[in-house]
Amino acid sequence: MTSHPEVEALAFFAEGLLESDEERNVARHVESCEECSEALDELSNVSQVLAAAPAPELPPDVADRLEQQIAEAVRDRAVRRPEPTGAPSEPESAPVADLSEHRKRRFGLPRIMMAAAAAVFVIGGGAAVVNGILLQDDEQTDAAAPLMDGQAEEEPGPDAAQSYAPELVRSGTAYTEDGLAEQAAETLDRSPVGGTAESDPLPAETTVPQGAESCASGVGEEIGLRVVLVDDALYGTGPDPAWVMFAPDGDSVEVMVVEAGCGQGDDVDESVLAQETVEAS
Amino acid sequence: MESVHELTDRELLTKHAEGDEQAFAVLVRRHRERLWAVAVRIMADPEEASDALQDAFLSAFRAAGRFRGEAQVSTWMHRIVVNACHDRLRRRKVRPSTPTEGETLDVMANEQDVRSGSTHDHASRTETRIVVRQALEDLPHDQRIALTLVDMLGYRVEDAAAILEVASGTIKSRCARGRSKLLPSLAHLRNPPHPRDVTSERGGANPS
Repeated sequence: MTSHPEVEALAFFAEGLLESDEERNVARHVESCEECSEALDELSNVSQVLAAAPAPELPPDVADRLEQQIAEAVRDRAVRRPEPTGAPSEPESAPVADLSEHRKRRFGLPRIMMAAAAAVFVIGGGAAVVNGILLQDDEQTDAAAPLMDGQAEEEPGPDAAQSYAPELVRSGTAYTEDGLAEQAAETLDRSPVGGTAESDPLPAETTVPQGAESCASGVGEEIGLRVVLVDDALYGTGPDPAWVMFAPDGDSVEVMVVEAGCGQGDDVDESVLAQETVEAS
Repeated sequence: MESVHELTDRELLTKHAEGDEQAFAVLVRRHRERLWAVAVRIMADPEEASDALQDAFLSAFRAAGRFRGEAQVSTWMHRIVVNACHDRLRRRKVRPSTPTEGETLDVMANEQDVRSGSTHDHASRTETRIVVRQALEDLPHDQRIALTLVDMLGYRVEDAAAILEVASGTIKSRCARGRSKLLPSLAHLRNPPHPRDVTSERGGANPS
């Protein structure tokens, strides 16, 4: 007579997880061993006891707390994603506070939410949704990479080829979230990099703001592309400058709006204000 | 303009990611009872379940743009809730749950019995709850979570596997290991004073 199998082996047996010869052995043993067949019953009884253990329904106050929390998150997001300028229909959401104020607001969240908020900071910083898009595009980039082998790599943009430092322009544009794609395309056209616009070309600036280059390389690393153009401009209605970074990716150009000064110690991620993909002309 | 209430989960999530202000709340209202059931069983503590659920909905709110659409939205939300619970279980190690927290669960569950007109023997049911909770507390988290989904809540192995992003075989072996570890502490509940109470409860919830 074989020795009793371990309880764990019996549990695996019950789930059909044993190798066939082992399974045969256990089956034969259980057939003739009352103790082990009882243990098998007890194992299925464990499932039954667990299934029978009751738990309370969702208490109304918890449901209320969830509603409040979401309402708060919606308000918080509305502040960070301003309405397009020119449509300030809701007085409350009107002038958009600068970034530092948003940060304070986030730290003002109830303590209970801090852990989750902090977790989002790591990847999301001021714009988790924007970063979500960023991550998605990252994956697309990866997926598309094999197709572009030997094509994109050997033929970088005609004007971008020589230098690893991005061109800098000052278009004076106040980029908005809704207009970003169009505004970015226009800047690109007028820039020394795009250079397809006949009129109103933007000169390449030589006075590069401090940190812009390291920021550009940080952004480039982040998205796995190379930033070839930086527009030292504004974003939203806030007074703080924003750098709009352009990184060609095959037939399109990734546009990242970051807080000016992102290279100074912060994670690049935390400085991203918006992101967009535009077609290269 | 279509009502947000008629949209699918996926449409709601997309709308939310695009900036819609109602969509996410609708999504939460749709799933919160179910996700509460998951959280409160994993945590075995309403207070902590509530915290975990809030953590989870907040991360889901912010991560909506990252949802890839490969999974069901509800699977994705389950995953976020389970992860939030897992985080809290890990942190709990240094701060074991106090009897008071457990009692809250018992009291709340008892109230529920009363409301539903149940005539169960509360004393024995309360004992069962306490024993089950204690026993789960000693399990490795992955086994505990697998057992919560499969045995306690009756999820199909495949669904639990999708939620936890592991193979079905992994769920089965986690459950098997968990059950064999629970056996010594739960075996004495085998012949409870009111055996029919136990059997009548298990039917729908336990597919195995």
